[in-house]
Amino acid sequence: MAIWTIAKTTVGEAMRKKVLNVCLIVALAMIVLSLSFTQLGFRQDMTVVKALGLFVIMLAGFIISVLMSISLIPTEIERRTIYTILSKPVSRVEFLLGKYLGGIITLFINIALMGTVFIVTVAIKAKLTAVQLGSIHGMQVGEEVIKPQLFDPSLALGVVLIYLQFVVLAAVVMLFSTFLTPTVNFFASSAFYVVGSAANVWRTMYMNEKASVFVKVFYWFISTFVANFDRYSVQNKLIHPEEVASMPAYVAAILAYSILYCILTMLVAVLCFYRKEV
Amino acid sequence: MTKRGRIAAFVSVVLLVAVITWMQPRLNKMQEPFVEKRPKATHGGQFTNMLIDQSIQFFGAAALGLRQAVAGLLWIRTDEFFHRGEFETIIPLSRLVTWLDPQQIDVYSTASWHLDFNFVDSDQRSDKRLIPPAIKLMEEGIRNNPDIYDLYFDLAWTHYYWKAKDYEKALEWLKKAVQHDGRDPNTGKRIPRPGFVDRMLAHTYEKVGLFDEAEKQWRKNLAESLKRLKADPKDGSRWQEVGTCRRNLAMLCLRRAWRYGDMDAYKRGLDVLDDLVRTEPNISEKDPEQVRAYKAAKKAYEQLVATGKRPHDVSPPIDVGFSVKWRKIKPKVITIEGTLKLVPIEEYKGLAAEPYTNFWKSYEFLLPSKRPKWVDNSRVRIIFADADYNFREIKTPKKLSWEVDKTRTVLWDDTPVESGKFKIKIDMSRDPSFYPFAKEDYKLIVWFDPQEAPITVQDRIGWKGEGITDKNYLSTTFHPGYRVVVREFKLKRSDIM
Repeated sequence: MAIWTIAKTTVGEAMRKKVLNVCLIVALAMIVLSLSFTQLGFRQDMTVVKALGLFVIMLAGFIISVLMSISLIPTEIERRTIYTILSKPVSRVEFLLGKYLGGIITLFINIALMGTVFIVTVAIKAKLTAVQLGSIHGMQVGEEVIKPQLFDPSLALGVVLIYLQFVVLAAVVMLFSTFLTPTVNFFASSAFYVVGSAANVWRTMYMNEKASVFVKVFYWFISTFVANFDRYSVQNKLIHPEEVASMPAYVAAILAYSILYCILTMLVAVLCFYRKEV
Repeated sequence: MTKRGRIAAFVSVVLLVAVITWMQPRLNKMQEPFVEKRPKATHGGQFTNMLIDQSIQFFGAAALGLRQAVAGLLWIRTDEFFHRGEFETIIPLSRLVTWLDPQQIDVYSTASWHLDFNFVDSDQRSDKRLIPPAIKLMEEGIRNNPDIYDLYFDLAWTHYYWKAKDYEKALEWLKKAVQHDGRDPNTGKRIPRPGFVDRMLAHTYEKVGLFDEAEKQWRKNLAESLKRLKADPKDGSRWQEVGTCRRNLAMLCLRRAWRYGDMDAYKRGLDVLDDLVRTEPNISEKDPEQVRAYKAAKKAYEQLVATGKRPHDVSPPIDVGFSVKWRKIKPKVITIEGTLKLVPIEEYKGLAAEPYTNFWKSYEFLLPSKRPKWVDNSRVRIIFADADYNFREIKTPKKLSWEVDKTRTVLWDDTPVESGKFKIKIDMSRDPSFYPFAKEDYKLIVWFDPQEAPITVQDRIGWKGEGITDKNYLSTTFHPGYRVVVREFKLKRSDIM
C-alpha cells in the first residue's frame, strides 16, 4: 500500500516537471512532422517516417528515463522529505520500490503517448498514400497496397521493446543514485547505456580465439552482466518489414529478461540503500 | 534490514545472476533473426580487421535507430541530385546510404545503374571502366540481402545481359535468382517471385545455346503458370502468362526443327501450339494469325514426314564477305567502315520457317525494284582499348571504389549494318578523361557475333552462326562455340595521335 502511495506521488511530481514535458512535446512534434516527407516513393517515405519515429521515441525515452530517475532519490534527500517518509511505518525497501514504480509508470505514460502518436502517424501516412496511389491506379489498388500498413502490430511490439529497455535503464539509474551524485550518475548511466548497446561487439571480442584469457574474461563479464540494450533494437525488421515468426516469442523472452534484470538491479539497490546514511 | 533479510537478498542476487548468465546464450540465439545482415569481413574475417569491418555497430550502436532515418534523408538528397543531373555526387551519397542501411535494395540497383549507364562522353557512350564497380556494388547488395531474388535478377539482367552482353554470366546469376522468392515491402511476408524471372532464365538458356535446358525451363514455367491459372481462372493475366510460356516454348522447339532438322522438336512444338489454339479463350478472334501460323506449320510438318525430308534452314552457309577498314581523320578521331552481307532477302525464299513466319511472303508481292534487298538490323560491335584490355573477363575490384583508372583507355560501341554495309565515326578527342591514351599499344576489334543478331537474321544463320562463312575473317575461337567474323588491328599510340 505504501509502495503504491509513493508511486502515485512520484508520478504526479514527475509529470509536472517542465523539462520532461518539453522533451515529450518536442518528440511528439517531430513524429508528426515526419508526415511531411513526400519526396520519394511510398516505400522510402515510409522508411523515413518509421525510422524517424522510432528514433525520436528512443531518444526521448532515454532522456526522460535518465533525467527523471536520476533525481528521484537525491531530491527527497535534498528536500529532507525522506526523513518524514521514513519516520512513518515505511521501510526503505518500500520507499525505493515506490519511487521506481512511480518512475516506470511515468515512463509508460510518456512512451505510450509517443507510441500511439507514432502508430497513428504511420497509419495517416499510409492512408494519404492510398489516396495518392488510388488517384493514379484506382482506389482498389491503393487500398490493397496500403492495407497492411494501416495497423502493423509489430510496430506496437517495437514500442514495447523500447519501453522495456528504459525500464531496465531506470533501474540501473536508481541503483547508481543510491551511491553517486546526480551529475556523476548521469555520465555513468549514459556510459552504461552505450556499453550495453554495443554488447554484441563485446561478445564478438570474447569469442575471438586469439584473445588472451584475461581479455576473454573481461569481455565475457561485460557482455554478460551489463544489460544488453542491443537486444531491444529490432528497428531494422520494423523499418524493412521481414516476416519473423518468432517476434512475439522474442518479445516475451525479452520481457522475462528485463524483469529479472530489474529485480536483480533493485535488489542490489536496496542493499546499497540500506548502507546509505540518511 | 535484518541479517536474515540481507542473507536472503544476497542469495537472491546470486540466483538471479546465475539465471541471467544461463539466459544469455539462449537470448543470443533468439536474437539472430533480428540482427541486421551486414557485410562480412573482407579479409577472411581476421580479428585484426574486425573493428574496421564492424565500425558502424561499434560507434553507431547507441544511435541505432537513427541510421535508417539518416539513410532515408540522404536518399532524398540523392534524388534531388539525380533530377539536377549531378551524377558524380549521387554515387558517394548512395554508397553512404548502403553503408547506413544495407537493406535498402533500391539504392544498390539505382547507384549501379548510374555507374553503368549515366557517366557518358560527348557522344553519349558510357564509361565502360565503371562496369566493374557497378557489378561489385550489386554483389555487395546481394551479400547483404541474400534471401530475395531482386538483386540477383538485376545484376543478371541490367548489368551482365543488357550492359556487358555477357550472357553466360547473366545465366549464372539468373540461376541464383530463381532459388529465391520475393518479399512484400509492406508486410515483410514472403511472396512468390514474379514469373518474368523464370522466363528470363529460359530465354538466357536459349541465348547461350543450351537448348535442352531452355526447353526444360519453359516446360517448368508453363507448369507453374498453369498451376497459377488453375488457382485463379478468372484472372486474365494468368491466361496471358500461360500463353507467353506456350508461345515461347513452341517457337524454341520449332526453331530447333527448322534450323537443325530436329523432327522430334517439330512435333513437340506443334503439340504445344495445339494446346494453345485449343484452350486459349477466343484465340480465333484475338489472334487469328497465330491460328493460321499453327495450321500452316502443321501442314508443312505432315508434308515433311510424308516425304521423309528434314529441314535445315541454316545451310548452305552464306558468305558474308566481311571487311573492315579504319582511317584516322585527325588525332583521336577515326572512321570505321566495312561490309557484312547479312542477309539478302532472297535467302528467305523456301525456308522451312516460312509457312509459319510468312516473312518472304510479306515482300514477295512487291516489284523487285521496290523490294528491300537486305534484312537489316544486325549490329557490328567495336572495341578500341589498351592492348592488354580483356573485355571477355570483367574483373571486379577487391574493394569497392568508383575511382576509374585514369591511365586506361576503353571504348565500346556498335553500329547497325544497313544494305550490307556499316560505317561509324568515333571522336575520342573531346573527352580526354575518358580516353587518356596513356599507353603505347592499342587494339581495335570489330566483329559480328550471331548470338546478338535479331531473331529474323538468326532464322537464316542459326543461333550460333552455323549459316555463315567468310573467306578471311571467320573465327571459332573468338567466342568459343560460335562462328564469329572478326577483324583485329594492333595500333601504336602514334597511329592514333
